[in-house]
Amino acid sequence: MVLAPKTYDGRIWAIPQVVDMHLLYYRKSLLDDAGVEPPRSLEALVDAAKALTTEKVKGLFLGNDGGAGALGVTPLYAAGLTSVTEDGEVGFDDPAAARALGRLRQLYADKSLLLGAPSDWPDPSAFTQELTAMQWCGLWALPAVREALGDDFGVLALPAEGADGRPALPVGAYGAAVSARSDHEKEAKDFVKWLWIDKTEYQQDFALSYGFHIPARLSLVKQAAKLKEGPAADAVRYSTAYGYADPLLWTPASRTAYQDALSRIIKSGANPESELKSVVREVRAELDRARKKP
Amino acid sequence: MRRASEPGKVPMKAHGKPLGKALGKPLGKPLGTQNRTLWFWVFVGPFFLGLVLFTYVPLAWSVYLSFFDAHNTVSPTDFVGLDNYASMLRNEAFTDSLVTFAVFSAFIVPTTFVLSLALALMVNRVRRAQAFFRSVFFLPAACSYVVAALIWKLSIFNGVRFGLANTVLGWFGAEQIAWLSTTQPPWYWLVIVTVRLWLQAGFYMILFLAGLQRISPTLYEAAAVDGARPGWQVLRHITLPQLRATSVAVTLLLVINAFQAFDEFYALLSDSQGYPPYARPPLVYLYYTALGQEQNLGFGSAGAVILALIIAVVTVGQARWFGLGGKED
Repeated sequence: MVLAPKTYDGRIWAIPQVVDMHLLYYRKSLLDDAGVEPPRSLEALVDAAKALTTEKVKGLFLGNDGGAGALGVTPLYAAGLTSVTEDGEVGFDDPAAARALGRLRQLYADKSLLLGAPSDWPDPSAFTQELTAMQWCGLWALPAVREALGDDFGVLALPAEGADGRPALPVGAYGAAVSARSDHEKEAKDFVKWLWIDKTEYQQDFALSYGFHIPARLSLVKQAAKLKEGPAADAVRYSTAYGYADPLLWTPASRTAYQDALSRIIKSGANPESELKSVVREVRAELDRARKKP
Repeated sequence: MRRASEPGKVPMKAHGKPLGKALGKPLGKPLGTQNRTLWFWVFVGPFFLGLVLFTYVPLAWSVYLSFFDAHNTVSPTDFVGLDNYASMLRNEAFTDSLVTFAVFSAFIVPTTFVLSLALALMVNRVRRAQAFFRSVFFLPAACSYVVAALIWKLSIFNGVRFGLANTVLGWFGAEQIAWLSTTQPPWYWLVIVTVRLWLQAGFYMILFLAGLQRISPTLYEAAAVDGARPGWQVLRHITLPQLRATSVAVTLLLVINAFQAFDEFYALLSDSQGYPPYARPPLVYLYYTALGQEQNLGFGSAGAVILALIIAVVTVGQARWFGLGGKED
């Protein structure tokens, strides 16, 4: 799956090195105190966040912008849609998209969201310092969260929206590529292959000793002790079951148009249907432009 | 009265003789005849070259790019004529950014003007420790915009209960506010305007102080003799008219600075995922279009050219309106 964004016209352009992903962290003890189950649907997430919000602790942290940046297109995938389809068409021209984004507005309107935290969502501080009961963050934060909270946390994908939806989270990988203009192209290719395909013990070491990532080779994942139990094992399972990777054709112009609309929906209560309609139009134009190129 | 003696014309001559002769020998003798053209270029050349290389060439290049479809390239081949301009002017994000600028100026120009004038009037009246107060109010001008913006964002106006502003609200039992994330009402303007106000009021206070100290005390004495009441009447009829030149300069500078707004907006509102669709002044918008991930240099350049034209028109219009460049009374 992480190979897909490295592939264009049937050719692979880079070797994935390590896999990283976003995750929804939740604090087990706080959920137990409030009598809330880990949410299995977006609707349940909205209710859970509301139930978990107290004077001192907010229910959910999706980033200081209310989720437009951190979640991005993940809610579309949770509703069973895509950003751009495999044939290069707009993947969210569907009423389910508006429903999913409407849930995010509900979270904001309920005042269940933590906003204006000193450190933004990629950092687990708001979660570990008990400013929020749940937080959208990444796999990279798992060691820090475990150190601060021990076993008092669990991880989820973004829960599904509606009957056609399924949980979703973004997965991506750094890629090793070789310059085709180099005088030493062959040596470079051999080196990259040696390091990122053959030398599995180096890959294992690189992925798990200095940060916290999933090795790109699936055979290695099965061997890694650190990935076998608890939330880390859940994360690995989610990455293959629910992960999606941004399609190549989801360009910055499309992302900006979508993100702006999402921000207006969440913060200003703009109508999701009409906002999405204009995003679909813009993305279609951008896809036409991108496809026209040689 | 001045006309009669024409003091400005005299100093080049001493006792009726040209200056050089008065010193006893012609100027330039010690080094022999000099190649003035050569020396002109030696001194002016490096700066002129820098100006051409780093200002005029990029400027012209930007205009050139604005007529091309230049994604990720500065040597485009795909000529599109005025398409970039047309779509930029139709682009809601761009016109919104102009509205943002207008709103921002409408807030920041009058507030800075009034605050810095008030500070100047107060400091000017202080009899003791004037230098101390002057320095204290001027000090924020030495602070970086980015540093101040981060303090405003992370400490004073953060959204959690222990932020300074929310702590104060808490004393009165009010609900905490996520200052930078709330669009209804647009609390983010409070953060943006106050940070710039704090940073620049001291600087403009110094300009006003200089203007105030040039007003002749005799005018105030004459006004007192004529029975003008100190306070509003003197301010309205003596101080403000005498400060006209300073006021015009301050207003112009404030508007131009507002046009250039970027630092504090970017530091306050951007994150790793981008920038929210509100409070996006033109430079921030163009930064994301031309230099951010999009790298749409043709489109961005078209916006930059439009913006430059607007700034030019506004500045010239303002200067005309205020009669800048004319002689002071």
